[in-house]
Amino acid sequence: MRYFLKKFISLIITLLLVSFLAFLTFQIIPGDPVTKLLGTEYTEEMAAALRAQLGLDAPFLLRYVRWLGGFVTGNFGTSYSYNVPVTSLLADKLPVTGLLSALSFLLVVCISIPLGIWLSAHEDSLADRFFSMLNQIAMSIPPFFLGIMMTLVLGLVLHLFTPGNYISYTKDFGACLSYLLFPAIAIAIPKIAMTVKLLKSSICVEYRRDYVRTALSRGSTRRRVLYTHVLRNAMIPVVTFLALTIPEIVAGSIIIEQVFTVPGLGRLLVSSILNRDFPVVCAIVMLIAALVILMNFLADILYRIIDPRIRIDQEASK
Amino acid sequence: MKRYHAYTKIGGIISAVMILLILIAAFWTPYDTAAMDSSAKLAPPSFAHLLGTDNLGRDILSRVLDGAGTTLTIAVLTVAAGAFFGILIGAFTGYYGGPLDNILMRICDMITAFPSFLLALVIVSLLGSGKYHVVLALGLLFIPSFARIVRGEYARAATQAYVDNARLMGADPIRILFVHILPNIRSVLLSSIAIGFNNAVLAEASMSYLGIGVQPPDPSLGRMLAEAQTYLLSAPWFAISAGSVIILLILGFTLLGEGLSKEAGRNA
Repeated sequence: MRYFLKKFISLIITLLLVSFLAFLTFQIIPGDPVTKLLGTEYTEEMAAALRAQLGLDAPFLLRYVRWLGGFVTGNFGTSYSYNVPVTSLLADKLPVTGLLSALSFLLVVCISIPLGIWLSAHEDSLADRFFSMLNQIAMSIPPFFLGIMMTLVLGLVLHLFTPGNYISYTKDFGACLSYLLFPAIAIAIPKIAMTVKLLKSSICVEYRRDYVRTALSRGSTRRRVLYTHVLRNAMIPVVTFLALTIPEIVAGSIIIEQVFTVPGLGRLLVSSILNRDFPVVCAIVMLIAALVILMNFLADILYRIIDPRIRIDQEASK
Repeated sequence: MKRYHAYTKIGGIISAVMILLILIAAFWTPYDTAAMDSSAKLAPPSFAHLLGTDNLGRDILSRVLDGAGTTLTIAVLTVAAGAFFGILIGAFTGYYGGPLDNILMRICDMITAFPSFLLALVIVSLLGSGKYHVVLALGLLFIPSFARIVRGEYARAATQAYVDNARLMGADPIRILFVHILPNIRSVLLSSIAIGFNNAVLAEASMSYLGIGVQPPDPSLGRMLAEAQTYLLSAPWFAISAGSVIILLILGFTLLGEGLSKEAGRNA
């Protein structure tokens, strides 16, 4: 419990630090939002009035506290280029990216774990060598190129889906999912390759341990040893790795959304960067940063839950 | 004689061939990269144009190699910057330890936890796009990961007998750090340089694909892929050529890195 509290406090401190850095970075960039909003023709009084209205005349720290307060209560400021609250821009993009990332993560877990277990049982077989080579290649393919090739082969040649014809989840949830399946596969393949490699080597290391020999010599079947002993230990690094892939998947979806023209957070981020629409960029970056920090926290906690040895070690050393 | 892992050999050959082709392309390409041939727009691969032509009738082979040159330059500069400052920081913090080490490593942990591609996008969005801004953004982001790896190696080396020995013989700390320890961690360093190189190629291609990286007139594989996507069905060789060059660049260095780290493990 004390460990949990300590980690939780460090989580809050990290979040505050990152938010402060983000705020600072987006403050020091050149360009005054007021002159940007008013265009070319304006008087000093108009500028001063707007500055007061936007709260830009307040001292730096006060502005930070206000901005942070807004962030916590869900007010991310106003977009420069659309002149609407950032929240309303994010509201219909967030579920799309969320859905895409969740689908992709599901694919990674459901494919890589059985595949890794199966391959470790057939170490050095022909299938294992074939998959090892395939794995190396899969890790070298940029996901966005994979997406382009999928568009060509599965979309344009085989007509399994119509590229660019994204259907909103509010209109037809099933059709939306079946369209998102393809970008999800493109994001998932390199991650599957990495997870399989990690799980396989982790299982192989565990198999060489003394407790496996003991269990086998006492007449336990290989299958039983695998599922009751080896896997529990081998999964520890894999679970941590999987928790940390979630932010990677979200970052990957930024570029894949562009390939499959999915109107999600990624496309909004890219267009905002090109338009120098900083409140939107800042909000998206903060959201992803929060996700990264939360997942790190989760990975730490999971690590302790599934491996009692770490818990006992740390408590003993106190 | 030193035996090399199969991955090192295959990766080394792929990388060497790619680098050779790019070097040749820097001085001579089959066609002028900007020369347009309006009679041969989107022509399929032939003996005249080995990889076909693009939407403006330009030779894809020449353009792809030219673009790979930009990618390679960016990757080399990025990794060089990241490795140089990473080694400098990692060597001092790892060898001396102390509170500064703690603080710096906390910061490195924080930065490396984020997807580096995303941070690079943010930095480029602040600086504006362009070749050197991409190098600056990626180079900055590579420092922490190099620093972390190097720090770990130096911390371990600091307790070893040969370092104690050098210290007792009155060797200068700088000499111990860079003449005694550095050569001993070269295999770890080489494999992390190979991995860093991959990440740089991938990040540059992704950023240019999104239109946030390398800007015209600099050629770029990522931007070519974005253009090629429009002509995917009528000229699939356009996208496939650009993509394959990226894959070959990454695959060569992935295998090289993989092989080197396996050799390092075997020698240890």
